[in-house]
Amino acid sequence: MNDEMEEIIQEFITEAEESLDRIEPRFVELEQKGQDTNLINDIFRSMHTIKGAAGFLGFQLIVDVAHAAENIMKKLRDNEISLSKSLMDVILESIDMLRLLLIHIKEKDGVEENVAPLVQELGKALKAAMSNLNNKEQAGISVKPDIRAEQSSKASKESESISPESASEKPLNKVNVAESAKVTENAQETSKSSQITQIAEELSQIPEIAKTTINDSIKNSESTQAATDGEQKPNEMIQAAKDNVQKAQNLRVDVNRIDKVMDLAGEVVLVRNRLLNISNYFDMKYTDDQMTEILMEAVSFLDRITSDMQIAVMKMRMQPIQKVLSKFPRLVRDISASVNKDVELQIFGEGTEVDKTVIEHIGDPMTHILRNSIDHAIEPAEERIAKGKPSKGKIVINTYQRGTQIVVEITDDGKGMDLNKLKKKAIEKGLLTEEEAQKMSDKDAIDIIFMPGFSTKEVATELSGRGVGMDVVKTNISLLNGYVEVSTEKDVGTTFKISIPLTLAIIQALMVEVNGVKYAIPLSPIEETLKVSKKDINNITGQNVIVIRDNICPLFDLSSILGFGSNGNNDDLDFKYLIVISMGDRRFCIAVDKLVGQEEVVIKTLNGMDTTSSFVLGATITGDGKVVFILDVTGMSRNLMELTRA
Amino acid sequence: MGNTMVSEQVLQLVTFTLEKEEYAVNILNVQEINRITEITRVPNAPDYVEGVINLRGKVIPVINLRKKFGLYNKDTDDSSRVIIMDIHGVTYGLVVDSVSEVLRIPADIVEPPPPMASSMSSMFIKGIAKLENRLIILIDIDGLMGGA
Amino acid sequence: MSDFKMKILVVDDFSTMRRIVKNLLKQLGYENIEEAEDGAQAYSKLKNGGYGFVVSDWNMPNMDGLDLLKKVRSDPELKDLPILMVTAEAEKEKVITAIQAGVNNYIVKPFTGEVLKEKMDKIFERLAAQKQ
Repeated sequence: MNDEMEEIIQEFITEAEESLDRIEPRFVELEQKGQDTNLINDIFRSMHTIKGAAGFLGFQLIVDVAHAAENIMKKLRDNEISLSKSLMDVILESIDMLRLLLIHIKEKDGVEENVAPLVQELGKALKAAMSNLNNKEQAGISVKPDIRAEQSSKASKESESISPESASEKPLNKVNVAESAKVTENAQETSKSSQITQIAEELSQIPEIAKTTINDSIKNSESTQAATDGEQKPNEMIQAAKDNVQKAQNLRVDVNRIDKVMDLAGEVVLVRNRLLNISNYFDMKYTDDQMTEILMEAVSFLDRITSDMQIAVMKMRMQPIQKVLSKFPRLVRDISASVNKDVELQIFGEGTEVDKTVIEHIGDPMTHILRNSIDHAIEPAEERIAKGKPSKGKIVINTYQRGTQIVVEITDDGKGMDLNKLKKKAIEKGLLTEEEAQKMSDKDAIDIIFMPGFSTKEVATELSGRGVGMDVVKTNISLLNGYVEVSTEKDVGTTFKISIPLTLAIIQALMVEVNGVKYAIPLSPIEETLKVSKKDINNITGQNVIVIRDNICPLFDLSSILGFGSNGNNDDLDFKYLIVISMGDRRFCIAVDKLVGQEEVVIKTLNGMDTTSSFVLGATITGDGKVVFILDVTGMSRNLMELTRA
Repeated sequence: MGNTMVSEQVLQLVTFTLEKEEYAVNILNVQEINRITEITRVPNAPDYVEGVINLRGKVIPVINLRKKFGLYNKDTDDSSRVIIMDIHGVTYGLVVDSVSEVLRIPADIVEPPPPMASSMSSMFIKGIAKLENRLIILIDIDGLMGGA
Repeated sequence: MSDFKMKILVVDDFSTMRRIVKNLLKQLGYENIEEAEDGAQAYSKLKNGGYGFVVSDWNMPNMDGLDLLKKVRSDPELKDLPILMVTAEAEKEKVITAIQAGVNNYIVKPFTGEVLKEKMDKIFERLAAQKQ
């Protein structure tokens, strides 16, 4: 029973978080569209449902917050109050609080947030909104007062005069009987009247229900009913029905279970590889035996399904990137408001599917870029107008798949980067020498923003001035085996282009050999491979370089990078194989003894060891059962480039 | 000799040798004991990290205890073994010269480590069990892996 | 005596809630419980027949609990199907509307197994009395 409870709680957290993720962008939409019944209904329903389930599970704080927020949504829905920015702010705040509360439950950290101030604020905001409306009516500003609003204001006045104590006094019972008698007139079947009386009796035990609410609610629900009926367009209903069919086919599965299947699938691959080896042996030794043929056939069949299975399992981990993108409209709204800028966010390609790990880790770097763009790149309205731009800034997020990569582009129409200013700052901060800055290409100059300890803003603002620079963006994306490129044009804008492999579990790799040991290098950053004669390698001030099509490219020996010493015994080789790595706009070569070939490898994580300086991002197991390390080219690039700079 | 054996606690240990000395780890941490298989060296790792092995599809690190304890190095041979240990859910392999036996000893014959125990750092020693003609060094697994 | 083999439909758009209600029903001894995500799905399931009882949430997308109730009551095949409506405190006022539409009883979130049992017993007692 305890496990069952635990599972229900887990499910609640996931479902509640999903609901919040789903409704948050709707708030921003609501703010843009104004009083949209469908949107309000949707948000109201989510709050309501979260509250209901939380009540069952005894999460009182969630109930309190959701209840207070729901009250506002309800009044909005019933047109009793109208939407305002301050109202939106407190509701959004309550969403944040709900998230926080969910995290505490998830982490089981026992932390109790004090929700009372927020609940009070929500109540105050509601009251303020109500009195606004009442004032308007009384002052006669409202030309055509909403009937329901009028009723409610009457109702609230009446209920004000009834103190809570008097509401629970006995005379109410009489009122209730009278009311229920009235209701009976409307009822179609007489058999119901006894039921109604009985339920009405039960109702009378609820002290806070006054007769006015019962009366109003009948009229209200009828009119709301008619209103919503009229507003639901046929095509929307079809869409809703379609969504529903899709939803019904979904099954919520614990990620650990999927990962377990994934592991097992990986092991089947290994067994398949061994079987392939064995069957090849039999094929050579007993070529004419009919059983050999049958064995070969069975093994090749196994080979095919194993590959299919692997892909199928990987797909189970794929999720639409929308999960991450949906939080950005709100984020952009909040950040731009805090720096007094007006910024519009457009999102494209939110259906692109990526691995769960990518979903989990791409949010932070993207948030950082967005913050940076709003804070630094988008000009204040006056400045924009002076430049002949629209006063409202624009940021576009575009997501798409290119080959086995997912590309996320974040483009702003701000002022662009001033490369000379960047260089100057970097020199001032001692990150560059005057000479280096002069020699620097434009591409390298843009990359200055990713240098640790660099920030161009003269005055640190609340948002970007947290001592966390853009270097974190680069690091986080490297962890996902991806890279960032930046292009910028003065007064036109800046684009950050993030490229990440679609899945992290299986990668295409180039197998290479050094000193008789195999290594796997992820294929995505490899630009090309070359076979060069030793005499083509030059040495400039202690650094080996090679000229590739007029470009000088630094060259490193894989054996020395990996700390196994320079491979002296292989120095008598006349030829070297070079792997040209391109990370964003940075290029370098790695020298190896042999190129073995391209292979699809399953990444096994390394537990229990510190691999920070090993330049490995994982390991894989080959068909013959050997462990082969998969090299972390991103880490290498960072490290090697620092070396050459020093 | 006349000592009461009433609520006696019993320790179950797996004993092994390193450089003629006898060591032991708690059997609860031991998953299995294997012959030495192919070990892949880890780039830029401390020298006591012998490498990684493939344990039925899982890649696990293997620690060379001789190097970890600062004993002189010796190539592995036929009697060398890898003790597969589970330490707080993480699997490690320990390379030892040979594995001797599974031993049950009363907990109270274990004495705290002497201030300066042999050549290895006393932080890896939990205690010393004194048996007839034998001294067994009990290894403190947490101390060992904390430093790994 | 309750019939524990009776097929019950639990209708709610929040899967956690369906699970909680299902769990409570199981604790009461009911074994044959099915789920629907909204009124529309529930109605098509009910049309397939065999259900003896419905526990439905009020607020749901597509077709809410009230619409489901109305639809069931106007369907000659289903009109006598007992329906228990789950509502939240804030909606108590709506109960009257539900009664007009012919709900058998309502239950306020959050509720315990005992309260659920009480409500179900009341419904079945009354149905039995009506048949006599």
